[in-house]
This record gives sequence, structure tokens and C-alpha cells, in this order.
Amino acid sequence: MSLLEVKDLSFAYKNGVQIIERINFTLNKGDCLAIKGPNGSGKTTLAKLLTRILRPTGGHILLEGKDISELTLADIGKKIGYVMQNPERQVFSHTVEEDIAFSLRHRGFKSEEVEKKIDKMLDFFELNRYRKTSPFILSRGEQQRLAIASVLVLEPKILLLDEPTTGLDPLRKKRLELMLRELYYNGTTLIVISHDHKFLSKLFNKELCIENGLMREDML
Amino acid sequence: MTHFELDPRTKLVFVLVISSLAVIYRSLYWLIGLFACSTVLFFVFGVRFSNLLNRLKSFIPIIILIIFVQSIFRQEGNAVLAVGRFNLLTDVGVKEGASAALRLMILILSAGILVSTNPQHLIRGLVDWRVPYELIFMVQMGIRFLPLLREEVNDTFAAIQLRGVELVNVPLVKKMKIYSHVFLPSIANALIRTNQLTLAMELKGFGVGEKRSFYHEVSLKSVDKILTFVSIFLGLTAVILYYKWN
Ligand SMILES: Nc1ncnc2c1ncn2[C@@H]1O[C@H](COP(=O)(O)OP(=O)(O)O)[C@@H](O)[C@H]1O
Ligand SMILES: [Mg+2]
Repeated sequence: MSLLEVKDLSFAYKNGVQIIERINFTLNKGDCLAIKGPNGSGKTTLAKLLTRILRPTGGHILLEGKDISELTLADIGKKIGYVMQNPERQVFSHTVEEDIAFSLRHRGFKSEEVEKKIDKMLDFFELNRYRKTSPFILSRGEQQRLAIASVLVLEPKILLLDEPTTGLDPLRKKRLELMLRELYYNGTTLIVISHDHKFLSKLFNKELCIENGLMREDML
Repeated sequence: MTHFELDPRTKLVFVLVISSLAVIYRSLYWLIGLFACSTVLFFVFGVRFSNLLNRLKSFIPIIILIIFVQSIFRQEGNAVLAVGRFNLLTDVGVKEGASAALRLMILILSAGILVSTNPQHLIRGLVDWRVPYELIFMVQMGIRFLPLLREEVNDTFAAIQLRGVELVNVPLVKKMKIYSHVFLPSIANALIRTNQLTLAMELKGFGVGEKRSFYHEVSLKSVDKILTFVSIFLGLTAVILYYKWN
């Protein structure tokens, strides 16, 4: 059984413009998929379809064999960690540490356990000195690392990142790459939307190009 | 479809008259009449039918909610639906609910008349009427950012649920607590954007001159003057008639 299977996926917004037309691809554990395509080609739309934020107008998405239309967002979030193109929309707590702890606290983890996980994430994503800071005053790159940290505490099998390199300087980009590489080698399946050709290029084994709603899947 | 090129201010007066009447009228039949009138006007001003449907469609959940809330707690009148001795739905309640829904639809429709208006012309006209330009500009900006704000709130909602938090089948209190999280980023992002917008506007020289100059001139044609007068007159008549007959 594939981890993620997309069958004949189509989507149009309410205004009727067909954004995605009959896309097919499969993702297995250990894959690293790059999604490429010019601005406005529907990459973010595809990401929102994969996480059921948008409902397809045709076709199916199977997550571990289950049609995601039968799952709740909460179910999907446990399997797919989604880092949005605008990470400032997905941080919503008063402090950085609370934001990381959010899903753990809501799922009834014990305090010590939560603390331990927070410490680990803050260390890994170099956010320790912002622990008590409001997430809204962080820079874009910091907000993005926070967003990644907060979805990773649920230990999702897939990490889906929408244009993670925009607004990062070369050093930050390098560091993000190292972090993602480490996650990948620890067993996380990656989907990365990016038009930065160098970013993570050695890791990708699959590539999906969207252009005018149509798709080309390549095995690299 | 006919296309009058009316002065935007004339349309604004129409909208104001209709929406005032919608708020004043309490009787279901009067509201139905007013609804019919505003539908006609909506078409006269060349707004397309599909636009009308789209407009109403997105408000359907709210309308249903209003009907429900307005009708459910009315005890007077004859029961339509009752549980034991408790009247769940009475004919008075249903009427009340329908009136509230109609009122809302009239407001939406009448605002739709303005859709066919060139906003630049409306601004120009309002400035001539000595409405402060800053005020108009802010309202206009607010309206322009509304779709963006909606998308932002939707994303935040989704993000909260994707963090493994169910929003379906949870107790109301817990739900409210989770919802409260949405406000924080929305307000924070709105403030940040306001800041950026202010800076951008100032860099472009907003508020440097005493008075804003305009490229287009608009002036009330005689047909506008007559129509404005007629609509105010008809509006007042409609109010007087309503109070006389009720
Ligand atoms: N809410 C929406 N309603 C209608 N059209 C939209 C909406 N969001 C995005 N689009 C359109 O869908 C297309 C694809 O957008 P998007 O998925 O964001 O592209 P990408 O992420 O590849 O840049 C664009 O043409 C965009 O204008
Ligand atoms: Mg995008």
C-alpha cells in the first residue's frame, strides 16, 4: 500500500477556472517529491487538496489506503505535517513554546512529556531564545521554523512544505536544508513545493511539474 | 438589459432608502413588497442574475440560522411544532424568522446595486459632498482586504484542525476556546498589514496635500437630481404609508 496515492485529481475554484486536471501520482515511504511549476500554476492549491482544506471536484486522494474525504482535518494532520506558504497564518498562540505545545496539550500529553518535546524542538530549530516571545514578531524564516516545529510534534509521516525557501538568506536556506535532510534520513517522507532548483536537489527521487493544470511526473 | 449611467451618488441614495426601509419595516408583507422592488432595481442597474445568485448563496447558512434563531424561542401564536407543552415553532415565530431573513436579503441586494458603480466615481462624488476622503479611503481599503482576510482566517482554522484538534463533535465551551485562537493571528496580521499599508501610503504621499485632486469630474445630471429627489420622496412616502396602515 502506498503512503499517498492521487488518482485523477481535478479541481476548479468556484469561479469555474480549472486549476488542476487529472493529476496522478503515488508516494511511498522514503520518497522525496519535488513539486515544481511557475507562479499561479496551482501548487498551493494542490497542497490544500492533499490536506483536505479544499475538496477536489474530481478524483481521489488516498492516504494509507483511506480516501481522505472520509477523514477529518485532525486525522490528516496526524499523518501530514503541512507548512503553508504563509506560515504566519498557522501560528496562533501567545508564545513560541505554547505554539509548539498546542497539539500535544490538546491531545492530553503529560506536562513533563510536553516540556521534553518542546525543548527538543526549540533546540533543533534554533528557537530557544524566542521561547517566551510572541510568534507574530518573529521574522519570516523564524516563523517558518516554528511552523515546521509545531507540525512535527505530532510526528507526521509526511512533511509537506510550500515554498519553504522564499525569504531565506543563503545561510538560512542551507540550515533548513540540513534540518530537512536529517528529518528525511530519520524516516520522514518529504513533499517540497519549490522553484529553487538547487534546494534539496540531491534528495529528490520524484518530480511533479504542474503547468496549465496539467502534470508531468518524472522519476529522477 | 438597460444600462443607465447614473451618478454613483444617486445609486447610493437608492441603497440608503431601501436599506432604511428594510430596517423600519416589521411587517412580513411589506418586506416581501420591498424585496420585490429591490430585485427589480437590481436588474435595472444591470447587475447580472448569476451575480445575484452568487451573492445570496454565500449568505444562505446565515439566513437559515436567523430564521431558526428568530422562530425557535417564540411562544405566542399557534404551534406548528411542539414538544410536550413547549412550542418549538409557532406561526408567529415563523413569520418573525422569515421577516428577519428577508430584511437581510434586501440589505444584501441593495448593496449589490453599488457593485455596478465605478468606485473611483463614487469616491469623487462623495468628496464633493464633503465626506472626508480619508474615511472613504479606509472603507474602500477595508472592503478590498476582505477576501484576503477571509482566506487568512480559513487557513488558520484549517491549521488548528491539522494540529490534530477536532472541531466537529466537541463540546461548545471547548470549541469556543479553540476558536478564540483564530482571532489572535487575524488581528496580529491585520495590524501588521495596516502598518505596512500606512507606510506604503505615506511613501506615496498620502495626506501630503490639503486636498486630493481628481482626474475625472463627476456632476449630477438633471436625471440624477430628479431620481434622487424621487427616491427620497418615495422612501418617505413608504414610511408614512407603513405607519398609517399598521
Ligand atoms: N480562492 C481562490 N479563488 C479563485 N482562484 C484562486 C483562489 N486561490 C488561488 N486562485 C487561483 O488559482 C491559481 C493557482 O494558485 P496557486 O495554487 O496559489 O498557485 P501557485 O501556488 O502555484 O503559485 C492562480 O491562478 C490563482 O489566481
Ligand atoms: Mg503557491
